[in-house]
Amino acid sequence: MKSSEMIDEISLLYELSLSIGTSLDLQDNCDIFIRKLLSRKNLDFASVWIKESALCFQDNDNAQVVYAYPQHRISLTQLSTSHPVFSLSEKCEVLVVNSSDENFSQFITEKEVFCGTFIIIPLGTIGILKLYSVKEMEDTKASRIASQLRNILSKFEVSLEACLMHKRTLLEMSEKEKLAKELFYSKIVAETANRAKSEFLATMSHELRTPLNSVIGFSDLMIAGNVGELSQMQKKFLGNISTSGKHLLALINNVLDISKVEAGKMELNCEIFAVKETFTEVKQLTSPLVEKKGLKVEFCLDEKLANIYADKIRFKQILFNLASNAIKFTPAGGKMTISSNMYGEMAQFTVRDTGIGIAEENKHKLFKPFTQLDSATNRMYDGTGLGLSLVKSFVELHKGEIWFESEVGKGTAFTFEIPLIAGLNKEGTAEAITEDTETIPTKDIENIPEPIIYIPQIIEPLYSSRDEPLILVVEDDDASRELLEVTLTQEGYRVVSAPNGKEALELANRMKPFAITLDIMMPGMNGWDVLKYLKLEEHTHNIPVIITSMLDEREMGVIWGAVEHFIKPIQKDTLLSTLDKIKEKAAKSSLSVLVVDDEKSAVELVAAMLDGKEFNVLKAYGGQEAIDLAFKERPDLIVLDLMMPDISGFEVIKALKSKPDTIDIPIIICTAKDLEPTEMNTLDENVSYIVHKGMFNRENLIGIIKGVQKKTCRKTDCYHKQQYEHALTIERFL
Amino acid sequence: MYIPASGFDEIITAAEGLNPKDDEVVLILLAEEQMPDITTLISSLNQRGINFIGGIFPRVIHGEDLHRSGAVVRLLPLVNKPLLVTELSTSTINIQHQLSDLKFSKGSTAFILVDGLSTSIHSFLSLVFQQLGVSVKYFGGGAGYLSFQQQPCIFCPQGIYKDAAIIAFIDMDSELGIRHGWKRIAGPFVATRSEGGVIKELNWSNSYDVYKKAVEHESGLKFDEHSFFEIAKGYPFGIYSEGSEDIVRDPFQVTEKGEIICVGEVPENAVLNILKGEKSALIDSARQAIKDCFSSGFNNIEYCLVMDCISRVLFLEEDFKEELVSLSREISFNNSSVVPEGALTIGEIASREQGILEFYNKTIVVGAFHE
Repeated sequence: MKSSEMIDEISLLYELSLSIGTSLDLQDNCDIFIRKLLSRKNLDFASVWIKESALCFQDNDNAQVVYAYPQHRISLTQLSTSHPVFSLSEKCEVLVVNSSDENFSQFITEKEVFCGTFIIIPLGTIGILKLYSVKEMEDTKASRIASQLRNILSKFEVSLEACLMHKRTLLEMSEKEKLAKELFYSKIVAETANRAKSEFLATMSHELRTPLNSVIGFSDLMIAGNVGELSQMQKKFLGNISTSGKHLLALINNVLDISKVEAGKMELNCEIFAVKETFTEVKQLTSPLVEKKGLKVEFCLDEKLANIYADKIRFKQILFNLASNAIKFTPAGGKMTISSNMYGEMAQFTVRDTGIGIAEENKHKLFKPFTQLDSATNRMYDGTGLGLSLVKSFVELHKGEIWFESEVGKGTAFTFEIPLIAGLNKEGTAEAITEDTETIPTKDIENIPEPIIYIPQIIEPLYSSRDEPLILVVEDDDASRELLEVTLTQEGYRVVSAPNGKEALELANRMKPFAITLDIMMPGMNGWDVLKYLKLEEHTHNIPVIITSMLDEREMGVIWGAVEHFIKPIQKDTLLSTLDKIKEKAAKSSLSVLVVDDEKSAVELVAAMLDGKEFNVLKAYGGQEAIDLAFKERPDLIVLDLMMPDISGFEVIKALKSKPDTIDIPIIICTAKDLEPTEMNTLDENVSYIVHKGMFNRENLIGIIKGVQKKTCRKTDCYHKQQYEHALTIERFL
Repeated sequence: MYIPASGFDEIITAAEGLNPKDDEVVLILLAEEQMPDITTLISSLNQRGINFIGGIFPRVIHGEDLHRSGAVVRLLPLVNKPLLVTELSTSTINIQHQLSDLKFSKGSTAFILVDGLSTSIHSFLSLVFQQLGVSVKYFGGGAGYLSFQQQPCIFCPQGIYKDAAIIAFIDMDSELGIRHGWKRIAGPFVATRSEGGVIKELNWSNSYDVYKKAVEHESGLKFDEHSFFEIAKGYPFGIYSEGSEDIVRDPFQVTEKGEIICVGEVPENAVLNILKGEKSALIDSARQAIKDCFSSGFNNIEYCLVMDCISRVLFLEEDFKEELVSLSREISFNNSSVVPEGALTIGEIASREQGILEFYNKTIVVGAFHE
């Protein structure tokens, strides 16, 4: 061979070797290499076949064309590896087949091939490279081509494997991305559906509770004799109506709770509290049933487990539901035991009864919603079939477990355990814990130094009968104080004075004055602090306070519950006129209550419940009417529905709380709506009490109103939370 | 036939005289000098319902004569409608579906006219060959102007275009001859960096420095004393192709960075040789090309189309006449009376044997068409 020919061949191999692996794309990688190979080697066709086992991990005996140039020549795109193209070529380094060979036609997998030479070279174990020349080649030339290409084709094979790996990786990534997208969209769809479900449930609960409110409320009023004497039969039927309504209401509440749990919207509000408290409450709640059936009840409290960390309401619900079940399925004369126990890092509770027990075949159905064990049981024992399912859900929400042991005819024991939290003072007393969770205002009060005990001097008017209204004058300036003392005594009031805040609080608490005039700028505790504590203290919160200040801070005074605000120097007539108004108001015995609801029957029900001398009921049947009436009449309290057309209860609250004249009117929410956490937060800051329709009777409502009246000044989150919890407790156990 | 007149009336009359049928197309090869107004020509042909394709070339060939003006007009039978492809370099060529739908009878030829200065000729031809493979033979050339300034040069009933190509699928078989006659004088050189037709590096050095040194050494000429093309037209590059002549790449320009621009693609890492033209060898190569056409034994040749590279004329200058005489003589020698017709082109197109479709430079390609 001439040196120039050698140079040509080496140059060609150099060029070909550098054209391998220039791309990780299978097509591009093949295209760059094969086209150069065909052009430089003066060949007419090439195809790359890869076994499917290497191409897509398919366990079969086929191979596919992954690249061909020109593509147009391709006739077959898939071959069995038992085809001679594969079976024969794999046995040797190179297979050369000329058209003069007898078996040439067996190797034709292309169009328009009648003569020429095939050169077939295995690509490792993954496939073959098939080259074709229209001109028939001598075997020696063909073999030389194959020999020249041997090392280059090894590189080519490796590059193909890299391309295949790359392709698979891309495919996997793409599938992962696709999956992630699908998951994302599914999540959106699910969330949308979930939201729709929640909205549906909220609406439905409102629609169902509203009429039930009237059914239960009016029935109870009639049973209580508010509309006259009833016959025994009438009382019995009304009792049935009321009981059925309450059952239906309980069912709705349970369904809502289950829906919330399923939708992942049930949020626990965990805190540390005394187990003993809950036991006591459960005991109180179950006592009517226990007494009715004549059961023995025992509460065994493990002293080591004084406190637990849980959602107090849900924990109470768990215990109450289990206790109710035990009572329900225990015959008269039986026994129920509720016990607590420390078990490692878990707090364990057991409700045991000596009831009918659960048959083996029914045990697996026990915690399924809407399942009562058999129809006979269903008829005999009242229940929604949701109680145990809810209990299980609540326990699991606390990261706990529940299980039971039962023997037919002997009884059942349900045990659940919830984890204790690290660092919890297990042996701490309930009182100690309660102190820790007290409200901030209470703590502030505790920080007030011990008052100085002294005998106050009461200045009396001339010819005093000693029953004149007593005014407490709080003023650090001697001259101002004396001026007020003289003015007030001349007008027939008794006066007691305090030169500072601490003494003022002590006097107010001890002497319960008719009214207080309060200076603001005083050394030590200023007037605002005095006002704040007066309004926080149960014994003093009702005492009217008149601010006497050098500054115009009227709104501040109104916010903290002052009845009037005067800028010094005080006009005598104005002060006396204010005191007259206070006297007039005090003379009124009835409390004015504005009842607001778009449902006429709901307004009528509350009005009927408040019927009597104690309350003066104002009625509004819409949001705007309520706002107008509140501004005009300034009622002592408002009972407000939330879901009203046009202007909702939320908007009414916003309107009233934005004006100084109405900002301090306590509001009791009476709704059929199942409240969302965000709605709860809004209400927490602005209302005194929340009660659900159908969940209260006359006594409850009056009790709530009186309680709110007493405590309207305690507008702290903690207070509202306690109030709501209390309301919920009443609702769940009614 | 050759229409010497510069007005379009004569061309239209000639085209009408061919009486083209629906399955025929009139091929118009226009010489760049004294051209008629192309827009008016296209409009007039369209008004007369004449189907046509054409290109503008530096010169046209008819028999033993080379013409700076006038037109060669030829009627060609079609197997499929011509396919126009525009914006070759600026958009993705998407003609796979159109090509794959075509049906061919045995013995068809794809006659391709392309803007010779388009930068995507290689990709375009590769795509056509992928789709059509050896179902047809390929023949054609690059249109354009002697100034090497890219201007509209491909026309058809839809208008006149630059950076475009048109393929007429002729219902005739063809025998093809591809020759250039250039011989290696220096090399090998490796195009260690290249992009399309631009050679950026040779042997890991500035391409112009390497080329200049080699050519000045061989030719005794100095690039400082002549324009680049004046010397480069006699010293093209050749890309090795086993068993045939090197594929020629014609360097026609050098950039300020010392990058050499060629007509046609030079793949990165291609091994190149510098070629030199000898007058006798080049002229003989034309004869060889005709000989190749007749070597398969077909004597019933109906047309003989010639696409001869403009740079051969620039190299042979007055002696180019001898190349055309050589063509005609070889045709007569093969007992044929056909008159060779064609154009001087910027790049030539043909398929080798039944094989690969290539874009050539400084080459003469001859298509002898027969039934």
